[in-house]
Amino acid sequence: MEPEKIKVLLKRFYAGETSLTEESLLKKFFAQPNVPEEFLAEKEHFLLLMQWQKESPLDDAFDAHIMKEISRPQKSGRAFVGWYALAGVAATVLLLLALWLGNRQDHRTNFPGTTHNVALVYAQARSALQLVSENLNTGIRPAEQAVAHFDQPLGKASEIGMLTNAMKPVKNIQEIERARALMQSMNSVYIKLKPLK
Amino acid sequence: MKSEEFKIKLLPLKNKLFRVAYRLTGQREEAEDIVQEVYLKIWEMRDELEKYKSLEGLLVTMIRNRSLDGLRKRKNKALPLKPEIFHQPASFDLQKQKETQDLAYRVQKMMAELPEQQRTIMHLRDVEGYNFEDITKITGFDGNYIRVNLSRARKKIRLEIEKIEKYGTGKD
Repeated sequence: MEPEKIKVLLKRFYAGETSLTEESLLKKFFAQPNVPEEFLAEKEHFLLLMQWQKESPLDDAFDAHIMKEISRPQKSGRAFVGWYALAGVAATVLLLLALWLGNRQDHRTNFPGTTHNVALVYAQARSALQLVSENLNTGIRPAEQAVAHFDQPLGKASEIGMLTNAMKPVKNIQEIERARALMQSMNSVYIKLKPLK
Repeated sequence: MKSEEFKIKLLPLKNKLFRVAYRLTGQREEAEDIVQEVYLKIWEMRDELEKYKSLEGLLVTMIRNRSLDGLRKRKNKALPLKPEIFHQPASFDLQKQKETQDLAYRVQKMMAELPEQQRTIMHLRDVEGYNFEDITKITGFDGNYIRVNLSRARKKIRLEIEKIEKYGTGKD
């Protein structure tokens, strides 16, 4: 190709205006051994581009590596996610199972030593409370005797009309009497339990 | 897509993809990792590849995006390209080979200073031989933007070569 034509093409090349065909003409021109001195810089430029074009460091070993990678059934990353998903499902199943079991326990009909017979339950409760009451009464009896013990001489004292106004301790005795009544009322609370609904 | 088709159609593009990644990142190992990553990614997408008109275009786009991610992680700094020459034409004598290596290194160093858009456009056009339409599909840049940046990149390369020719290749 004539140098004048090359100059025109190069001018357009550096303006970004050449077509791919024109650029391949330029490459062909600069690849030949006898390039005029005036195009030295451009020649180096084109040789450099052609050199870059030849860079091919990846060989068959790369292909083999990629083919091995893609032929694996599952990528490790995926397997990792898979395990997480599986753990999540397992946890959900366990949670649901726990909820179902817990709920089921509420509806259980038979516990050892239990009954649905209300009359029997009432009778049992009543006899148990009766027992408590009796024991309480047993405890209260000595207290009653002690109170009676105080009552007797005080009764005599009032009969003879002595010290009636002056005897303030009588009030204390009345307090004891009130305590006794309270104790008796406690006793009655236990006994007068209403039947369970 | 079956693995055989993947092997026959897509794997032969590996060095082209490597060159794009390498031109953008300037790191050989990183470029190789990116190519591998993109191949595995596209294999994962194998059931939806039919909707893409050009798988080569898709691969180059993925390579570019992945390379730019790498650059962003390094705070937009393109690392200086290493002085690597992968394949030397057998006809070159040793002296000539050294000169070419020096020149290539100097130009590559200068290239690392270019804006990414200019490097990408220049590489896709002048090294890989894509037409403007393909470059638009890969980069999203319009024709005029491509032309202007291609022109700038080419002029900068020639200027750098002229400097080297003028002052010699011994200096760095």
